[in-house]
Amino acid sequence: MVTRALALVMAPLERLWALAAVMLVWHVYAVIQGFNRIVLPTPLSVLANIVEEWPLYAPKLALTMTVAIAGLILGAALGALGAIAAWISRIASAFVATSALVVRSVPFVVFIPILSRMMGYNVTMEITIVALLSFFPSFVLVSSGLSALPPSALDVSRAFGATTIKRLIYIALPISLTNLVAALRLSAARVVLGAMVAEFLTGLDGLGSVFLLARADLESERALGAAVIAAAAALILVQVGEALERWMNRRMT
Amino acid sequence: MARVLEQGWLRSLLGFALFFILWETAGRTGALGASFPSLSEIATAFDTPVKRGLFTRSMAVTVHSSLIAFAVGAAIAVGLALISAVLPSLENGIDSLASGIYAIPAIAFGPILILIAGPETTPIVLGVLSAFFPIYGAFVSGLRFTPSAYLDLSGALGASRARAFLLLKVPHAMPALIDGLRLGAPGAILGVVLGEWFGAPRGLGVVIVGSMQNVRIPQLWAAALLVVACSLIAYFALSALHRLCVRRFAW
Amino acid sequence: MSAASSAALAVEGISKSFRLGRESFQALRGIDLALAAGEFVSVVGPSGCGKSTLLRIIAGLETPDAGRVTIGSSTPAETTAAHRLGIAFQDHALLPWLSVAENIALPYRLAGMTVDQARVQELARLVGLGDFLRARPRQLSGGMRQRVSIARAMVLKPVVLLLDEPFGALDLVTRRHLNLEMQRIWGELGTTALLITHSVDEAVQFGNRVFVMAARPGRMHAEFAVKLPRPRDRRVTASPEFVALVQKVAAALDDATAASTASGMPG
Repeated sequence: MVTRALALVMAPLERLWALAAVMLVWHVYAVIQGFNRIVLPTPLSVLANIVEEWPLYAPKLALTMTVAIAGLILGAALGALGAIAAWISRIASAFVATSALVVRSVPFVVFIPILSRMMGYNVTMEITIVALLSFFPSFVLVSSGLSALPPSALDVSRAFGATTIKRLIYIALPISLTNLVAALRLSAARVVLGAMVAEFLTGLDGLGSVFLLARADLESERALGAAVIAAAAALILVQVGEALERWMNRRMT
Repeated sequence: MARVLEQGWLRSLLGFALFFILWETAGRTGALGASFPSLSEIATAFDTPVKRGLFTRSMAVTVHSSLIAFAVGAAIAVGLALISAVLPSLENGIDSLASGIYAIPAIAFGPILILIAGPETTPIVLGVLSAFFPIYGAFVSGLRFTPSAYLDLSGALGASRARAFLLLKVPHAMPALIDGLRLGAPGAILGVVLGEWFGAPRGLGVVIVGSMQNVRIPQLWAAALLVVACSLIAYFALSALHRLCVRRFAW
Repeated sequence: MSAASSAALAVEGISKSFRLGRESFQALRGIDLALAAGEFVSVVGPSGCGKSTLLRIIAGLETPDAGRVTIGSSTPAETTAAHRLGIAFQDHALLPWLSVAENIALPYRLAGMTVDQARVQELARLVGLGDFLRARPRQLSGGMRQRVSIARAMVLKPVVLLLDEPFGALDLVTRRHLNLEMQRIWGELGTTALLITHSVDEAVQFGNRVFVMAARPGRMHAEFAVKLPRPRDRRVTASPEFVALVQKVAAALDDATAASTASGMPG
């Protein structure tokens, strides 16, 4: 009984000790620094600030997350459609190899300033950026899922006289869907980054622009509050993505 | 001619040529707007010694920071991966710390880093953070998924845990580690540029933000393309290393 | 003292169950086996009869629920700790980053002993790879890789050699050839050996005795003594005695397979 209770207490500790350690270091460091100059708020004061000024944060959080999620879904869906189109027209391999390389080696975030110049400082630009970030992983993952199809699966469907449409619906779509969900999970962390960087650079309303304003006004607590909220939101989005992927894998296998 | 087209590198060369011609035309005709310059227009960003000097200095700063960030990030990632492989009781904690660092958008670390590390060091720390995860993730999965036949072998031969680790697990995980490194290098560069946007005094990131705000289009493109070029060079250099490593350590 | 205590390898009353989801199924029940020093014993059985589990228990890679294994006068754990067990798998488990010589020498390094280069070279010659010491496994054919794996199993002069389908992944021609080679190697070394296989031909060709196992639960079904002259080259394997014995063992194996299916029906 005692050991079981102990196990219940220890289980989350085993996962979270590192996070707790980071918080502790932050707190101790802030307290030590506090003797010299009042620059670094403690974790507790940041939390207090979040609670206190929640009405200020909430709409900005909503804006950033709406853009991030809309762009995520749009980009991933376009990526999957592109992959299916490439698969049907059999031009996939060259395209996919290049895209896979691009995903792994090009830091897309540096194009945010360029895109915001080309499209203007507006929400369309922000969504485009986020969609661009989630397009390539989806295109690559769905393509590789489709190309991993055993040739026999296609031969069988052809032997049964299935039309291209039928093959799309019964073979390509289910595979694309599982890989699309995997791509959503993969891009979940990057889309919040994309949206916030766009806001930070152009001053568009959202959590990212809080950094900009707080820096101008020297309000460290608010900047850190926005950072903590953004971190938590991104963590939750990634968790949701993972749960969705697990659910999809259970359904499909 | 057909024979020539079959050669892979020639085909990609032709592909690149076509790509650049299209770019040049789109830029000259202004098909994609005034903010999409032709390649020759971008080249004007380098046409005086003063302009070239700016790029040389900025690039030196960014590359320097990126190299430090990459080295430190790789060292921490390898260290933590080894610790979590040797001490399974710490595995979960290190894993959740790593996936937390991965999931939290790098920009969210900006405000606290500016306060703790200052604007000059923030790029390096952000570079470390974004280089860390791909390297840690790849190395850890390489270490954890040792083929069971190897483990049976070391078990039947009565090898100590330490010996099985050094002689079987670590060499088996080498290709995975190098793969992680080649993903970590663009990550380090990205982190550094992001950090430079938080008010660093010098660097390609500073040039990018400055030219964006002052609508210096050729300079903006030139700086962004230089960042991409650095990233590609790092990636391809490590890809070559990866090929060597696969030839050495894998079937 | 039982007869088993004087054996080089004694397996007494081994039982083992595995959990599969909520159900548990018995992989092995009451297995007895005794090998005299220098004896070569083959075990054949239908797939899923637990013969590989038996071998893994003898190698100390799994612990039985009941019964015990004695190698000489030691437990499997003591034997592995003393690095006196030789083992070769169907998946040869060669390390791609090491040369042939380094792969053969691996047990020394895993055991923390200094490598006896002379012994490594002697074994490489014995398995016919004297000229390939510096080659990488990738450059070798499947049969050659398996030879490296067998040399590796022998390098520490094991008290017992365990062979888990070492020829299973090879094509028929290579397999025949390597069978003959392996007999010659074993003839020179004279190590007590246990071979797990699903080929009746192979079992009879190698064994002083052949055991047939039945499945679900894995148990001993029949035992045959093989009193044929060695080396069992093509002259022997083409002889009526050999063929007759193979047919007898094959019949027993069919019988065991039928028995497995019947008792495997859930009640």
